[in-house]
Amino acid sequence: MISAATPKAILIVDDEPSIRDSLQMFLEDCGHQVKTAASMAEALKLLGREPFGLAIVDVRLSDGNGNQLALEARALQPQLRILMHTGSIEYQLPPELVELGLGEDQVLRKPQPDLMTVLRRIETELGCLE
Amino acid sequence: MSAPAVRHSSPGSPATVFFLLFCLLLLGPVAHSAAPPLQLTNAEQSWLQHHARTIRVGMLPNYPPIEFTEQGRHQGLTADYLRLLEKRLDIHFRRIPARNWDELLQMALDHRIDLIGSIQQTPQRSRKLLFTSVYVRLPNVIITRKGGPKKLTEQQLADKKVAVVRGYASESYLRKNVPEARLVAVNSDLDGLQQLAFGKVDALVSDLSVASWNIDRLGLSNLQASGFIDFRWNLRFGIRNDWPELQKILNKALDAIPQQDKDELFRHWVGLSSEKPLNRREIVIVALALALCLLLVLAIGLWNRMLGREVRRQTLALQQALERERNARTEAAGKEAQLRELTDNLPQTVFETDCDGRITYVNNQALEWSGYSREQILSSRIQDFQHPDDQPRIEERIRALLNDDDATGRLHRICLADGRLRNTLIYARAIHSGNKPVGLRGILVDITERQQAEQELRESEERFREIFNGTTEALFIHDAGDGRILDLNHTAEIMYRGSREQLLASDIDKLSSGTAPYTGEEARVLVEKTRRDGQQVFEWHARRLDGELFWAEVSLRTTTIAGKQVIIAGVRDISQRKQMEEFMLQSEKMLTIGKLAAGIAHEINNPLAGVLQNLQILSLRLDSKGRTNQDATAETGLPPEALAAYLKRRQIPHIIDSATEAALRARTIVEDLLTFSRRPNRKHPVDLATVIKTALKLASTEYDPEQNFDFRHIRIEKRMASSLPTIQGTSDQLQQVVLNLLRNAAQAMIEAGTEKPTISITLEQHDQHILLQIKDNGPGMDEQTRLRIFEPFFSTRLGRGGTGLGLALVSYIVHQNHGGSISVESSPGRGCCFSIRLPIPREDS
Repeated sequence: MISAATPKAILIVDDEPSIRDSLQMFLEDCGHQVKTAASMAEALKLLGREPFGLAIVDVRLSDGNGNQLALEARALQPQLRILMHTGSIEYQLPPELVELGLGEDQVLRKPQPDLMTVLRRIETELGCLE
Repeated sequence: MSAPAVRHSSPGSPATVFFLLFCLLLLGPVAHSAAPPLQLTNAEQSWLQHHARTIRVGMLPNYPPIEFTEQGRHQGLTADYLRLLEKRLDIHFRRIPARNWDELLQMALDHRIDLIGSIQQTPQRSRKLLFTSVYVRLPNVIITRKGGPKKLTEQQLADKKVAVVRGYASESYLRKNVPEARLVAVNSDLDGLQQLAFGKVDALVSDLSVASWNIDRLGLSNLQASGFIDFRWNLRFGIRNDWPELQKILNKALDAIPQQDKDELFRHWVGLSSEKPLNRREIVIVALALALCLLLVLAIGLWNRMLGREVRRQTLALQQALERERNARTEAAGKEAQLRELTDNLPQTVFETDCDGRITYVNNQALEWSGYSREQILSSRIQDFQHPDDQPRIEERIRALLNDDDATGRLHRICLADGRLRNTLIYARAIHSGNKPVGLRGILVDITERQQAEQELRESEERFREIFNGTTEALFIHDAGDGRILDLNHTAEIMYRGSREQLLASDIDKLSSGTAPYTGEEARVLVEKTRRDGQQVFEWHARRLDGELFWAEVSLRTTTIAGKQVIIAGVRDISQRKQMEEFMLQSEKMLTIGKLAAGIAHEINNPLAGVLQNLQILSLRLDSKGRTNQDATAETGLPPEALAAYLKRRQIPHIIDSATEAALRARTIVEDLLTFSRRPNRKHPVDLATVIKTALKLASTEYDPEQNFDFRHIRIEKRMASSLPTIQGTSDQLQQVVLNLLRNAAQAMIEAGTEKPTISITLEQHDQHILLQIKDNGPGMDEQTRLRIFEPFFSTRLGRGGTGLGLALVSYIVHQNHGGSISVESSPGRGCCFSIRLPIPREDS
């Protein structure tokens, strides 16, 4: 199901441990490879080291802005799929990210009442459900 | 013997001789000369026309039966002649009363009157007056006591003491023709008769008619007419000397009166046919008759002498009786004079009139008040002083008063001498003679000033009423003692939705909400405080008569009206202001909350996300079907069945569900709060009917079996006007509004177990607004709840799924995002009705 040619690993970037860890547990239970980062710096380090199929990026990070991270991540790994994760209802995608092809579908709003919805979105992004 | 000359014949009175004598005279044939027709020249007619109502004739009050005043009316032979003349000439004399002959004559000489009714022509008088032809001749008789010689001639009066009225033409006649007679001048015929009766004089020479009238009236049974003197009264009308026209006219008119009528008048008043020279045959008959009389008299004289003593006794008795009579008369006259003087000087206008309204008496006040002279008034009719418009009315009034129909005062406008019009009340009663009314006596009250004052008072009262009713404040006047409502204005009726009567019957308790501290008791405390400390201004929760409660600003102050201490309460309906204040307050609260929410939403959402995710993972990891879970149980050696049994026993899934639900609600709260800070989306034309239909569809899917909530159990009544204009707004938000209200109503009714729960929805246009009403027949709410219902976090369902934001959101969306308004009417047990008004956009915007 998972092709070796395309990396399927998922990077979760969130400074909130309860969200980061529970999401990791959920996705791993669902059979995904998951790495996590608690900060922008940490995330960039991981992204520089290994390839990821998808990054779930919290907008507000302790050491930076998720939008910026998304841009830099894409610069590092042009194939990387990105989902923005935010607790702010007023959050709107910045034009730079829209240029990269992100849309409202690529924004996850916290809290998500049903994790299965999130799972479907992730697998769609990774091409698992095609 | 009665003198047939006299109207009042009293049977059994003496003087048979007299009687017979007159009877004989009456036997004489009366010559009827045909009266010439009345032919006036053009000049005379024109003169008459010009003076038709202005000729003044003097009236003598005390010369009966020729002329006298009886019950205010001019009576007697002359009076009747005047009436005949008036009829004949179609004129009206103005009658001016004189007190006596001297005054009358003086008035004529001064031209204060134009005509004298009965006057003897003398050379002296002829210099000042003109005279008509003689219209009545009256013989002068010699009157003596009974028992004296009969058939006296004037020459036989020589050496006798003869009474004659002072100033009468007869006096000078006797002085000239019987110089031997000792003349005694008396004041009047009556005086002369009395002196004769008492033996002070031997004879009286007097006019036959006057003498017989008085003899009859006084009942002087011991007097007799003993002969004639060769001097008659030849009565004429006297005319002012510059009016020869009138002299000619009256002469023609007198000539035109048929002899028969003249005789009739003479017979009526004097009792004799007009005197004519006796012919031979008549003289013989008279002589025979006189002889017969003489015999009779002699017989009586003899009889009298036989009863001399008796006669003397009787004479004495008569003398005494006369003395008494005189005293009584003097006394009566004195009393009458007193009364007259009192009336004359009464500070009140007093008048008397005859039946035609002719004024016969007025007192001094009448002259002073009116500015007219006594002569002017006495020569006029009361009608002449009326405002021309009122004349028909006064005629009618006089008739009514004469019939005793109406003694109440009536308003009449009187024109004064200086031309001013005065409003007067005339009170009058008929004067009666026997059963017949002969005139009116009354008073006149000038009420012009009083009316003006009343008018001013009325106007002032009207002005006050106008202000009292016109003010936008409801005004109540309370009794300061017991708080009773004494008066109220029109605004009060509108504000309290009751009639004046209903409000007067109500009290402070009924007009207060009754919710502490807005009770009747507290109101009375405030009234007391007002009395003690002066004006009080406070907000009050009041009740209209239809039960609706409203906020009012009340000012109380004390004042005194008509000596009574009262409290004036001014009430201003401040519901709208209050509502606005409430709304502003809420609106501000909501905005603050919105801002706050926006600021903290992220901080709440993150931990919430953590909670929710962890709960889901917990739930997932406890699922025995999960592959990784199976691996884990296998590895740990925990039989999956045992785990499942344990979880079930310990209700773990339920606990997880509860926690999840709580977390989800927290998420909803945050979302709702964020609405307050979020700007509305772009507005579009919205059809409210569609919004309502959609909301109803959404609501119908809602049910909660655990709380027995099923929207489908509720009856929905819709009354929506068709083809209403659209409004500018956001359908999602308006849908949320309707849905919230539907949900609210449904929950309230189902929780209260309302029978036949019904929601009525009406949608209609009101001027520039669309009015949407959502009404239920649920439990309603008390005023405290009603007032706070739109406040954020105010909920009666907290802990039962309520967030306390539903109605706050509704209010916020309607007011803030759509420029509309929302209000709610409710009271416990009477359901609840939400009214939403949304503005219809103007065509040009």
